[in-house]
Amino acid sequence: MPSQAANYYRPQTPEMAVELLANLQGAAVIGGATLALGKLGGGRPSHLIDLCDAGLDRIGWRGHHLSIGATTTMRDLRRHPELSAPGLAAIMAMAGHFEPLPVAAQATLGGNLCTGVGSLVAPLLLYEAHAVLLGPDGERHAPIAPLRLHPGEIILSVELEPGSPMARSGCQSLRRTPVGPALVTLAALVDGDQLRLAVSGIEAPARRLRDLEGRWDRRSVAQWAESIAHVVRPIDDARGSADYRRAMVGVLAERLLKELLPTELREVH
Amino acid sequence: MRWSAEVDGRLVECDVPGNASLAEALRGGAENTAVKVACGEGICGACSCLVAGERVHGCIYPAFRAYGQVIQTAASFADGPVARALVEAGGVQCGFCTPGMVVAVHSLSTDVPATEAGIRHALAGNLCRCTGYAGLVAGAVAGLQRLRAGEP
Amino acid sequence: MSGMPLLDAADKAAGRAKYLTDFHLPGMCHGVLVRSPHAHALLEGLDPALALAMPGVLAVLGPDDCPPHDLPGEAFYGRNLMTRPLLWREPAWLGCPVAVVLAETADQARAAVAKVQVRYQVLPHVLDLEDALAKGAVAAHLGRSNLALPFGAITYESGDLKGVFSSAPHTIETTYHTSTVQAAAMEPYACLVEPGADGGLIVHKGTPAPYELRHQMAHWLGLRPEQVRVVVPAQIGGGFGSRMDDLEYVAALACRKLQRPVRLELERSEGLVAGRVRHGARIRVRSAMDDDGNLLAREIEADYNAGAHLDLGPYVVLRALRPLALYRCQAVRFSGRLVTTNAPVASATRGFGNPQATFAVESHNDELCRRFGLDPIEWRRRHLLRSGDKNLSVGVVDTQTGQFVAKGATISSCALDRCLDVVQGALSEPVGAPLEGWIRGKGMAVAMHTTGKGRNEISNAKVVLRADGGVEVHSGAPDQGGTGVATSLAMIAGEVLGLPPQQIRVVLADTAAELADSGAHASGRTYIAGETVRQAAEKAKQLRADGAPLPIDAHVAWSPQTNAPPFAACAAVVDVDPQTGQSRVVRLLQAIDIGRVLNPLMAKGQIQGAAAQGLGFALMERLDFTAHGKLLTRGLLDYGVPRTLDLPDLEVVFCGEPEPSVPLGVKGAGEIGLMAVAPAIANAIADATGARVRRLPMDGETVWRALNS
Repeated sequence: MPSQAANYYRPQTPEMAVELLANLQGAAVIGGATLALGKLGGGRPSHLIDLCDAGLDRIGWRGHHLSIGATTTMRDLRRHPELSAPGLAAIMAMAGHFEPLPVAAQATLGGNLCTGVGSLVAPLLLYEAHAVLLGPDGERHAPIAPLRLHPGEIILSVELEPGSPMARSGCQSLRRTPVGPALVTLAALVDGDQLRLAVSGIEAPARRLRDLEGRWDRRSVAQWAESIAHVVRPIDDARGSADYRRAMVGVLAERLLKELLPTELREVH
Repeated sequence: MRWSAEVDGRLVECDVPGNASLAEALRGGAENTAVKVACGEGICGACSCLVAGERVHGCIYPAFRAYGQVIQTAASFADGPVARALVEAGGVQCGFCTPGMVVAVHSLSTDVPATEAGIRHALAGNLCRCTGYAGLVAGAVAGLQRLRAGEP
Repeated sequence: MSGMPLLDAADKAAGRAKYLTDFHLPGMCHGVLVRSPHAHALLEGLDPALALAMPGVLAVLGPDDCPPHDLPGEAFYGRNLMTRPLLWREPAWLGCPVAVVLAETADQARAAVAKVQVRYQVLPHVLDLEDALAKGAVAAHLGRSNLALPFGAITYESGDLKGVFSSAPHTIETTYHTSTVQAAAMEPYACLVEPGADGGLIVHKGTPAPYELRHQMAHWLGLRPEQVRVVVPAQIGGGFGSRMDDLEYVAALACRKLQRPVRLELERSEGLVAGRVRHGARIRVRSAMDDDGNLLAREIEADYNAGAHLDLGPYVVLRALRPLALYRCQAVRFSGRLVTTNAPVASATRGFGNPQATFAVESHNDELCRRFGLDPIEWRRRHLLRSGDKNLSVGVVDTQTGQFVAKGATISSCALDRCLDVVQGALSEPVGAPLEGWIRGKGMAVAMHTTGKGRNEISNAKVVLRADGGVEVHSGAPDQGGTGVATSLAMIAGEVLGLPPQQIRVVLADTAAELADSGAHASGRTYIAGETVRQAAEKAKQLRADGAPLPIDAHVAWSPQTNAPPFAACAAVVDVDPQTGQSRVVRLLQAIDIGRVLNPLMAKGQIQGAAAQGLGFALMERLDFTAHGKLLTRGLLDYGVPRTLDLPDLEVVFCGEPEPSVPLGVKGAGEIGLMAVAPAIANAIADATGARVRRLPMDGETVWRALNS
């Protein structure tokens, strides 16, 4: 295996990857390679540093954080037992968007975060997720929205707090074309009477709607949906107008909250 | 860089740039025309091939990740039950997507039902612009059934 | 379903079949175009020095090296509207080619493209048809009117339109919009040109019209026609009309400069803006009716967005006449204009101007019937053309005045009545229930198309009975991907000679054979090339019967006398989510009259494939631009080519009788399946929601707007 020849490299550790990145002009780190080799991203990098053997595809606990390795594929996310809890259903829903496309077996969490419009960002934000990065100056934690890598850094993992075992979450999105970018993605988590909300697609970067969050008060689902539609700052472009995106985040909110809220809260009014 | 793999049952060795995709390695170095590149972005499935039995989009799969692996393109399944069924059902028009369709059907695991609904779901990552999928889906259903029945 | 697969289907499925992008010639080099990043600009300077210093780079050619394409075609008001630069000094759309880099490998050429230093003076641009028509609009080309036809509009009028409209008790007027759509053929756009004998060229290209290309290329380069040989590859990864993209002219120039084979192959993202697209359109339809809802007179004003140059636009917009011609009434008026903008160049694309207009007219008819409480099928039965009626859509434009002159063609066969029976039956079946929260509706529409261009059609064929017993069919007609010309011709010759088609060798579309053919346009090849081959096979058979010695070489040239229109009626059942506006087609059935069905298996495939493109046109497909003229659509991922999951099983019922104008009995099958799909879906959405969507594509937001207006 020519792991150290010419312009394809397959480092065995993240540290080796960072060292290669520091020493190679025009190199790109690849997880699934869907961005670097795909023709959407512009020019082809001169060197590929393939992380597939760097041990970054693990999912496990690190303290009270659940750590998901950067090269975990969408398909592995869907299949992993640690992620089957109802509290993490929001992540599952978006990872599932890639099924049944074969790219699901190749596209990685790290790549999804790097695109800037990744469908996993909104659901991950529900769990106070941060990225763990490794660079020439060592390891650091960074927000995922927007994710800003310093030169020479790679993503090791994303760490999140899954919340209580009683939590329920979900995520819905709406697209102009079946596999095009989402006009609106809304993720929500209900933990007891606490509610968390995050949006992407409709805004860039994705964000938590912290102003609205907190205790589920005595408003109806429809009123909540209206509030959500009120606070977002929708993008307006040829794919979808701001009006439509705003109306749709309301529609998705109503659907999602009806699905997530326990009956006693849903039927307050 | 020197690249080598077992492609369609034959050991292939050729020079391939280290930053090449598997499709480029197969089409360029290995002169394999059963891998078509239509979109170059991993969405249309025309470049589908199997690496160690797993289906990948050759256009976005690094060539050297497949180094030394067993690779199967549509040439591995030439004139087999799936290919024949697609032909008989009128599923082949311009034919540019067909090799990828053949590979896709061969990659399906046993939990994919050989029904219209099962096939429509399983082939959602393979675009065709000629057939409206009617003949393709019918052919894929029949082909999968024949494949599972052990037809050569 | 009987019939036979394409003769080359097994080779295609095995990956053995060779497409243009699979060809490698010794000494071949590669060209990549330098494309304007601006929708409209002026070249202030082009410095290739850095690019020329890159590894493998052989040459960089710019506008100064490249004469404009000035083909010896039809002149309108003395000006050939199709004349255009090939490498542009005033790039007029995003992705417009300004130079070409030639290198040993495609990767080297692509890397060097970034190093060509081009200085642009950015100019104001206009993308939208209505913006381009507004008072004080930005000029898409400096110093030129956006109304591109010298006489303003192509017009046609018959009967006392004004009189009927002023005395009619009821009039209805509605306006429709369609978007710019890509053919999105699967094989990338490509060509390969190599030096030929006698200082000439061999052009390998998936063109629909090899003899026309030879004629134009020779004229452009100052060569004799026989110095240019055009070879259409036997396999093409889909054409749909869109492969007339000028790439081969740039490649020819490069080949002559380097005296080496040159290949140009576009990436998908380039192909989105560099191939030819379907005209976006605005179409106004106005009808006059009596108190019973009978159609008295009708008027259509069609404005088509030509993009950055007219190309075949004057012929395309003329085809908006077809749905006007489909209904009988006392008076009609047509006006068709072409509007230049800084959008991608629009030209021939499957359906050739008809899908836009059929969407408009068939939606309008549904609105009309709803207003009068009429059954849309019965209303159509009252007004649709029948066999023997005049078909006003066949004729020519007076290139001085723009007036269209109908040739007085008659409809030789029409089974629309039977098509309507089938659609009526399908729509009377129970439709079932939609998903919770969704609503279901049903709709229908009809369409007429053409078989061949209706003028200047010719085909030449040779049937050879070899001394060794082998049989060959040679035709000047090309295949265009999956259309199956070779298979059809083998079936036709086989039928006459009593041979299985598999035993006949078919050779197509190599101009070295000197078998002139007007090209694979307008659904015409089975009818035109097919009838020619049938006659050649009969001639060969007769010679054999008369005792002529082998080999026998029977040559026939033939031109059709009519355009034998095919017809379609489409039934759609559609579910709509009234909250998001998203819709899903749950049933799509087409009743089709293409005369005798030569090969049911593949004819059905043509109708289904066209229907899928019609559904994409109806619901999803659109190129999206930013306000700055940049393309938002990144590739097929965003664009919206329908997938397996976006289509129902596409039902096809053939209703035609053999067409009497040729012994073969066939009519064109390639395009008719596209026309009626979008209006049938629009009419079903109106039935489900009560809201009329007059704009394509009817994506979620578009339907939502109609619901909330």
